[in-house]
Amino acid sequence: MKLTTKLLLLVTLCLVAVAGRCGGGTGGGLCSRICFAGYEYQVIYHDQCSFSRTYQCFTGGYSGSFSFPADCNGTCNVTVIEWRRLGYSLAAAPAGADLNAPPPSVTITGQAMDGTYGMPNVQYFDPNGYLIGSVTATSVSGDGTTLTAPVPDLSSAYSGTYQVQVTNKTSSGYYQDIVGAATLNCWGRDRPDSDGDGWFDDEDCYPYDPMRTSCGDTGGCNNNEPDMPPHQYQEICPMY
Amino acid sequence: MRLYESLKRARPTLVALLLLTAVTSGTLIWHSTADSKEDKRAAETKQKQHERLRKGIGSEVRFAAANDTPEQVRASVNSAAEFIDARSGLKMSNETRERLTEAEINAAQGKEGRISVEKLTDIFTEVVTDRVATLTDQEVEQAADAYSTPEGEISSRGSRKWGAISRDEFIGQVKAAREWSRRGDAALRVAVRPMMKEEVDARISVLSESLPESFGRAKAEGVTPLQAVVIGYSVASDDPLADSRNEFAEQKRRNRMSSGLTRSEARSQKRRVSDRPFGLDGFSFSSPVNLIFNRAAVDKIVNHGKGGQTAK
Repeated sequence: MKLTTKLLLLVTLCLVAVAGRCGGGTGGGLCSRICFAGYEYQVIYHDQCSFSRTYQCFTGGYSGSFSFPADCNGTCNVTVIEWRRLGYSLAAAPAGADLNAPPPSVTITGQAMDGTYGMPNVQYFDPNGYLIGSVTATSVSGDGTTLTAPVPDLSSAYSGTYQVQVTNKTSSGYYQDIVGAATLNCWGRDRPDSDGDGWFDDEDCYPYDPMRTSCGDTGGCNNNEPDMPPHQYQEICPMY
Repeated sequence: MRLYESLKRARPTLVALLLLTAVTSGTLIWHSTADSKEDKRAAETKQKQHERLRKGIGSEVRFAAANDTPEQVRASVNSAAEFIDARSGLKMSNETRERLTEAEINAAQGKEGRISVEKLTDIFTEVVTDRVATLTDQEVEQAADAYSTPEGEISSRGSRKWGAISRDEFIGQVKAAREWSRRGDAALRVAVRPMMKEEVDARISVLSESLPESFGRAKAEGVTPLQAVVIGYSVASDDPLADSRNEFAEQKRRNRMSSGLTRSEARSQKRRVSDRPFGLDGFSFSSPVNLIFNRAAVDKIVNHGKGGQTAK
């Protein structure tokens, strides 16, 4: 073998060895990535078949790893992005909205809103943290202090304090930097409790029957727990 | 002329050498930059994790000091019991509190030694292997339900680091493990111990650095029975013991926001979610902690010096 061929082979081996240390792994249809305690990650699949997933880094230590399923082709061809929470306080104008006549757009003021790599994403969450709608900002000021975004369809939203969260697109091409959230007080459409049993219709399996609320899933540690909607019950577990 | 010929012959070799040097240097620079970035990142994570632990277990549990009165020790045990209850719904009985108080006093007075990290790993391994042997089919189903992720997979760790499998696979594996354990097959113990070691070591390491006043002696001298119970709960529930209970409601809302689900999408998952972050249906991570971390487990910890007999 010629010297040059040997050297090129060596170079190739070096590169393979280096690359091998950087990636995650796969085995049995499972992929994994290193993560840091308390951080959140989003796994984005590229196979047009698997859904994106979010993960928190759970570890008894400082760092660990999290696993996620391989894509529909059995490969780990995914992009893992780490969400960065910048934690800035933002304010919305108008600060409130009548749900029967919502404004077409809101203006968010604060800092660090950035349109360099694409307009930021603006998500509207209800008072319990459920997503109401997600829109793309229409403009961001050059100094990152003002953003304008449309208001999503609020026809199924109820009165309460909403969170309007702004996320910047980064050089990776993904929405990764969560700038912060503004509050938006909405009124004009109270959450209905048709049967008056204390549980709102959208959390009551029997919204028109005051005698029943639970979907029949008793579960739990014992059978004498109160009949509550699944997402609100307080577990009563045995003593140890 | 001869020199020119020599250079001409050597040119491919020189090019390759130059290429190798460039690649190696580039790789070294890249690695060094990446390493320093990672180091900075690791230091930040460490700092944050220390703060979160101090806000959680550090401020909500008061571990007894050597010269504490029995009343102070009792208050310490009660604070740990309330801490575990607030996070997972597991309630400590008065009888267990009394036995733990006694064990803590004995450990403080040096009558019964602290529990070494190795011994603790052995105890937890035994707790798991013994519990697996006595699981009923119904309890295996309950465990599968509790460990079920929103995607319908089963994972016994929040990070899914030990993998995520289907419900049928999980039930099959646990039942097979149960048979091994009942037969006294050492294979289960051999498989479980390294996992327990990894979990215990990680917790001891973080706790001793975050809360040196309480856990500073853990690596060298071991932990007290109450500390062992808290670590046992942490391993069983995968609760990192971080963050204060005042933050749970906000965390639950933030978790929902991170999932990006609408109310109807969340509802279609048909998941029960409690108001506590850990334990059965915990909003951060759900586990059948009540099946694993029971009275027999605590007995093994409290009676570690007596072979871990169950209290009558």
